[in-house]
Amino acid sequence: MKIFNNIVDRPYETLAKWKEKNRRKIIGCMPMHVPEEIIYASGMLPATIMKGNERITLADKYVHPYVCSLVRSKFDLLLKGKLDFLDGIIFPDICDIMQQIPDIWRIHSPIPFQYNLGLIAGNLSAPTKKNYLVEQLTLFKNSLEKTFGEKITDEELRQAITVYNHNRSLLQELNQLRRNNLIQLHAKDFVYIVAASMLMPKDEHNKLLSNLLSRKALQDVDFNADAKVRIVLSGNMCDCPSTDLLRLLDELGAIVVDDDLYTGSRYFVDQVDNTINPIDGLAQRFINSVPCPNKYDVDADYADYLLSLVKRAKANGVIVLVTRYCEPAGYDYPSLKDKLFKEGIPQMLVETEYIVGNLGTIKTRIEAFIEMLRGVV
Amino acid sequence: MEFKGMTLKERSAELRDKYWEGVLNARENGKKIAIAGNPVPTDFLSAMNIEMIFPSNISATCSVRKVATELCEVAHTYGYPSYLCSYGQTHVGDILMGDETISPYGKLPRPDFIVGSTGQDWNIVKWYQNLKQIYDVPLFLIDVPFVHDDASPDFLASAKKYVKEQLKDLVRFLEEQTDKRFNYDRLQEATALTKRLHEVWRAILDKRRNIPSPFTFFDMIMDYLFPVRYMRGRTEGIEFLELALGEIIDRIEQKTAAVPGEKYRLHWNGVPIYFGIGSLSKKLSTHNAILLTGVYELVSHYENVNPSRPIDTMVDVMLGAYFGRGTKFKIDSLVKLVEDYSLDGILMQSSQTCKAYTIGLQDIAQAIKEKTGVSSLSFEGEACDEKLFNQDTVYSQIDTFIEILDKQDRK
Repeated sequence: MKIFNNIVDRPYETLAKWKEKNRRKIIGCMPMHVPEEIIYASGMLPATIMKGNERITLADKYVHPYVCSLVRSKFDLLLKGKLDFLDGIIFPDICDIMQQIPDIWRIHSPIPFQYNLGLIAGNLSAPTKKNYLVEQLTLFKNSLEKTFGEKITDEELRQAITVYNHNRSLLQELNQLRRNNLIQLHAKDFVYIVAASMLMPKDEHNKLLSNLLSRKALQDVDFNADAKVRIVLSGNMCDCPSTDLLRLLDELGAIVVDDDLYTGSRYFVDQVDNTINPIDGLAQRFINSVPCPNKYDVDADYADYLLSLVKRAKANGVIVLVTRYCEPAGYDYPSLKDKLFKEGIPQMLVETEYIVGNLGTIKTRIEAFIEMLRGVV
Repeated sequence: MEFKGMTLKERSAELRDKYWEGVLNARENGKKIAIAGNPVPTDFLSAMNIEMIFPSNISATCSVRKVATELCEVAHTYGYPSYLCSYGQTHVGDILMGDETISPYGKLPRPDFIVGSTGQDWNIVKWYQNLKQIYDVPLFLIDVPFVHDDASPDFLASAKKYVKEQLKDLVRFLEEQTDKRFNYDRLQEATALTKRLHEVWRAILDKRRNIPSPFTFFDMIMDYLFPVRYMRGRTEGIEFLELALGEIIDRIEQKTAAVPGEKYRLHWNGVPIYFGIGSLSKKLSTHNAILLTGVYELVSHYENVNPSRPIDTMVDVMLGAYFGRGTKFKIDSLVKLVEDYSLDGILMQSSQTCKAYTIGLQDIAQAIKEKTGVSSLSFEGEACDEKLFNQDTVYSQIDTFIEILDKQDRK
């Protein structure tokens, strides 16, 4: 966990050092849905751009305060020169902010390569949608090849997909163990394990994770799962949830038994079909992937998906984490609230900015929620 | 339509009544009803004789009549946060109120299906997805790729093909929904009518080059804009606008100014503050300022459609839409507006309920200043929810801005 903690707590320092030591290039990926395998296959490191851990100062000159604070934080890091080590940055089409910010970013950015990745929206099962997505992923691959001078072969792509699928399987295994009460993990640990995967070479993460899974130390026969309140964390925060919040859950005797987080199950639950053409496989993964507020599949039912996840995990309650001003999450919440209510599953909404710091009134509300659930349990 | 002897306001009301009557009587007349977003290629729906409900029209009208704030509160109770698109909040609040609605349109007829489109913003997809869930009807979504400033020729070719294939998919969708073969002849006719409608519209807009201008942006959105956005592919709007153009030409000949003593010609960059239009108009008049241009003329250029190639030309119109383009394109468009209409200043409105129209305004304002010398006023506006608009602050900012314009040398 020490290695994972170090990477996630100090991502940019760690990445910059890694780059210097290994003399390899790093391509920053804005969340979400970037097909990292394409970058990995080229020999470069895809690293998810996480929020900063300092006050936003410079970005407010160019971006309004009600623009997603995660994006504002990252823009602030750019303006402060903290992202100068990046060789490139990818902006996927996942929301209005991600569509509108790249042109402004470019005006102020010294990062040499910037790419806007077109994704798809609408009735995703239509062949028209997949054809376009395959073309966009191909254009993305071509652009990397042209810019960095390294051809990316199908074989290299397959190998990258194999490594990534293995990572997904290991994370899935870890998730299943916690869901079935076979291991005890702090809420923060699970999030950090997944987030670390986004910030380091996948083959190295696979080694560390395999090691972790094989160690008996994870298993604690005294951890008395039955006494704990079982929580599912849901949300598309495009970043890690607040560590203060996660620690609070531990302190209150709640365990996170599953999640629907970006730095959680949504990152690993879908495999790529590696038996078909690799670009096809990556496109198909996106289309088939679990519903997500930032995946604009108009025929999907996100609330139904979350409900099935909650029931499978035998959770007592759901905490829905929303970054303030996140519109996709805001639109999905009523249906979520309604479906969970009809099934008798308690939920609470926690709306945060990117730095929570002192949890304040949120702490009181979460305490009350967990106590209420404990009474029911 | 019979417009004889009517004033502009009377004709405008008659036009809107005719449109809404068509929607209310649709089922009686054997027609389907669709919810249609903006920008949706409505000629395709007109070709199949489909009546259309436009949520943006519903929400803007509710705001003008000052009932949108309460409808947004209904949306908040439903579970929406206050910072979502307030058009979307108003519309959903309206639907949820059902028979008890306070909308001037009354309870909205239930649609048979929904056709939506990106191209202005992406989050509109979520609004429409919610409508699909609320009504439990099919939704067809046209995804119009965002064209960034650095879009490559390969990307553009791919995007064009994508939009074209989706329009063909739309044809099949409409056939399924209406159980009829798609009427390509009628599509040609509707496209020709839309082209003509927008040509007259552009001719009207052009008359504002005259100093003083014969009409304001407020006149535009209250009187002339309705058929341009909501009655494409039909004849009534053309008759209406041709009459209006004649009257505007007369006013120019008579040297009638929309704002007597017109001194400052301004552009409004943002979704109009519909609930405050009257008072904002008066406010600006006290400064001899005319609100001349606005975003509606920047968006889709339907005068560029070609009835002999309706699908291909519609693809180009949809991909060219202002809000689906990069920052440099926006800057160039606004610079052209400044030059064409001799603008003196820009009201650069940002809004927490309309982030797609808000991001980048700082850089855009700076670029326009560098290229044209024209200054911008940054202020917080809002389309529907009055609780999010601070009139005193904004009016005070306008006062200061006019003082600045007064002191400045213009290029």
